[in-house]
Amino acid sequence: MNAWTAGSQAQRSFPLRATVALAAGSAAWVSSNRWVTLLVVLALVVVGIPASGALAAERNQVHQADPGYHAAPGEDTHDNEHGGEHGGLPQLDKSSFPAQLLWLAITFSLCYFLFSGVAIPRVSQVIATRENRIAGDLDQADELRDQAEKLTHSNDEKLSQAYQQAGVELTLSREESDKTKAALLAELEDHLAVQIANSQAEIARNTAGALARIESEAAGLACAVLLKLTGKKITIEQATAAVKQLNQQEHIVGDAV
Amino acid sequence: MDPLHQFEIQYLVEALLLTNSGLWMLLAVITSYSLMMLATSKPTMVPGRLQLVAEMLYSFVVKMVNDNAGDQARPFIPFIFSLFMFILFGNLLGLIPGSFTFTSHIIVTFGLALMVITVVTILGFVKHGLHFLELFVPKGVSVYIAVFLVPIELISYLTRPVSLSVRLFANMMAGHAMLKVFAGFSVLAVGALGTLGGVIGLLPMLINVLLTGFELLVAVLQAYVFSVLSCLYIRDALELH
Repeated sequence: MNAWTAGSQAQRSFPLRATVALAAGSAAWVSSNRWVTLLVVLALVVVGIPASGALAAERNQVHQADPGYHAAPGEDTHDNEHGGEHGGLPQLDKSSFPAQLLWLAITFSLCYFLFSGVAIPRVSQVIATRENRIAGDLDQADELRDQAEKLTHSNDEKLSQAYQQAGVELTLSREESDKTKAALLAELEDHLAVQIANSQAEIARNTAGALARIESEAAGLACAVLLKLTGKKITIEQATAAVKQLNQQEHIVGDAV
Repeated sequence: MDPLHQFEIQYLVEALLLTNSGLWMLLAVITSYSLMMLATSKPTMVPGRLQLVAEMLYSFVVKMVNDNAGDQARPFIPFIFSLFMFILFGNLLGLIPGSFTFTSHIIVTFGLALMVITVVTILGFVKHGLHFLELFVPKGVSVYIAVFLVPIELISYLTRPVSLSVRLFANMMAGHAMLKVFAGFSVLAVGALGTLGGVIGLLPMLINVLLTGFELLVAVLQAYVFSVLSCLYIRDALELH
């Protein structure tokens, strides 16, 4: 209470001092955007000056109006003087203005420095950490997807290359096998042709032999038949000649037919 | 019973000029700051409930400043955030029965508005010099019309702190007075009619329940409106139309 009796000079400077002290104490926290802080402090001072001025004026009035003010300070004095008796709005009671403005300046500066210096950096860092993490994860996912796409692409390429190579090899081996097959077939045909020729020659030989024997048997038979029927003897040579003649005639007839 | 009794200023510590109003300002700062600090004390990648509240409050203000004041206003985020939290918690704590709503006092809201206007005006002059006065002369206006327009613009600029403060003060005061009036009806009914009055008194009480919900909305909305308008004024000072 004694502080207020010292004079208006001390009273005026009190809210200012409080504001400046808080600003100085918190300045270290607010490293960036100092100029905004300066603006806000200026604004707080603007709010604080009328508060202190009005306070001084009001105190002087109270001094003049109520010399016993110091004897009985307290809530009741204020309520009786301004609130209850007049019955007006408590909001329009000017005597409360300085105290409210003063505490507005104090509490709001506290609010501003606490938030801008401590709370906001913390919250924004938490949010930034998460966002960085998410962005990093997204980047990583993008990278992995790119890698996967590259792998798929190279896989496809390899596969198509393999298909191509397989096609080429298939054609090559097919051609080779075709050649081999043709060669084998030709060999076989030659072999078979030789065999057929041999067999035909043998057949011809056998046929000729058989025919010769048939002729000699027929001549002998003819000699024997002639001897038995007529008693006439002919030589084998004669009979053979006769059979030959007959055979030739038959041939002629056969050819003519 | 007097619905205006709740607005009366009581000195708690005379020597420090600490009134109930100042105490609740202090409590608003302490609770809002504690909320932010507590919520981020053990930050997790996937935020818990409290952490989410703090993050949403902050992101909300960041978005608000970005949308309404532009990119250049980024350094003002702490200021707007402080304003928003201070008013929001003042409004919300004021809804607790028996507490004091400092935002229902015109001098407090006027102090806040004066702070905003001071910041905006100094910012404008620092950023644009005397060109800041072009704010009062709309572009492409002839001299004759400007004669009328400039005073109008000047007055509209000067009434900004008034409209800003009266809007918040009137909303908060009217709401709280109304709550008290309806609560008074209930008490009156019981006092005058006894048991029957208790039954009748339920109706104003029910209305009061609804009004409390409405007041909750107003409390948040007015904090938002105050901050958005501050953002718009800052944009004016930064961009000059």
